[in-house]
Amino acid sequence: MVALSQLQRIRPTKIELIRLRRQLVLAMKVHKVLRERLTILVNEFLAQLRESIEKRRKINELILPVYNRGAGLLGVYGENVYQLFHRTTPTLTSVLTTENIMGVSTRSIVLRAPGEDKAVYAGLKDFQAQAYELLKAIIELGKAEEAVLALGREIKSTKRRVNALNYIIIPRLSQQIRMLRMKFDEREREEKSRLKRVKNILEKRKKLE
Amino acid sequence: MSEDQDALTRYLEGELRLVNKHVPYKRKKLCELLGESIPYIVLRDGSIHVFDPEELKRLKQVLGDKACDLTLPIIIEYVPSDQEGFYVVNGALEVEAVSKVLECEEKGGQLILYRPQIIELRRKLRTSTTILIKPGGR
Repeated sequence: MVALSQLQRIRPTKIELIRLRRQLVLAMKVHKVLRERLTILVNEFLAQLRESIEKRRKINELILPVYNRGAGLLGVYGENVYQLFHRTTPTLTSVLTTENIMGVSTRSIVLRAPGEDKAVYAGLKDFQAQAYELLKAIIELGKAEEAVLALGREIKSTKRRVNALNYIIIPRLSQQIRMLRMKFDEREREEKSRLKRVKNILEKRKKLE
Repeated sequence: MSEDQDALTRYLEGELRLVNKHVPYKRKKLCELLGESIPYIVLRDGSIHVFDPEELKRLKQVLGDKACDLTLPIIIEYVPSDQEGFYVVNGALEVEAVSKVLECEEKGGQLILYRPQIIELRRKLRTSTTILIKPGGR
């Protein structure tokens, strides 16, 4: 509800009424835009959440075969197998970037696939392919979860703005407009009754003359 | 009071300006993006938006020979004065790409999409589409 002091502070002029009306139209437009943005953000949030769940499931499926194959390779090639692979296999590089979802900036990673490996080690190719798939899924999960957090924060702030417009600004402007209209109506009525009174007095004077 | 009112007007106008800060400063052609090691564009707020290479390859596959002329990101327009949840894609190539990805019918140079289709489109082409809100109307 609007405090009476706030209403009393408005100058009861036609200019003020026009300004308030314009502001109300603008506020309604902003409310509509922000509400639609909120809907889009919520949809994006849900999509990212669904994706993160899917990726987590994929990681859970991939992690055990990679671990088993790694353990098998360790058994075959010995303890220094990972150092050997590290020296012989092409490196996988990633670039940290940003992605923008409806004005929400989230961190993203672009993974560059390694080049063709010439070295031949039994069992290494499959291990490499599986490990690459796992890394890709982990990065995708990270991206999705980062987006979920960023979108969540943006949804919270947008929701506050939408609610402020819906429950405070628009009702306050509407009430101020109503108040001004009532004042103008009252002025008009006063004016009418004054005119009537003056007319009566003049008529009475005329009769007396 | 008028100062408060002006502040409110400024705030409301600022909100309308900020709502489109994610729109690209300059769009790029698909082939140009495919040639870059990290395909990206600069947005109006100065931030960088990176495209998913998988999506770019998919668009190239969908459009075939005409793919090079497609400018990205594909802009989906939303006009608040129109019906709620009603979006429009303009441009012949953009319409063709979106209709092929969504497997829906296209009519001329404009494609009308509704909210469920937008959700589906954003799921398939998250980085290569962007939603533009036009508060001023068409």
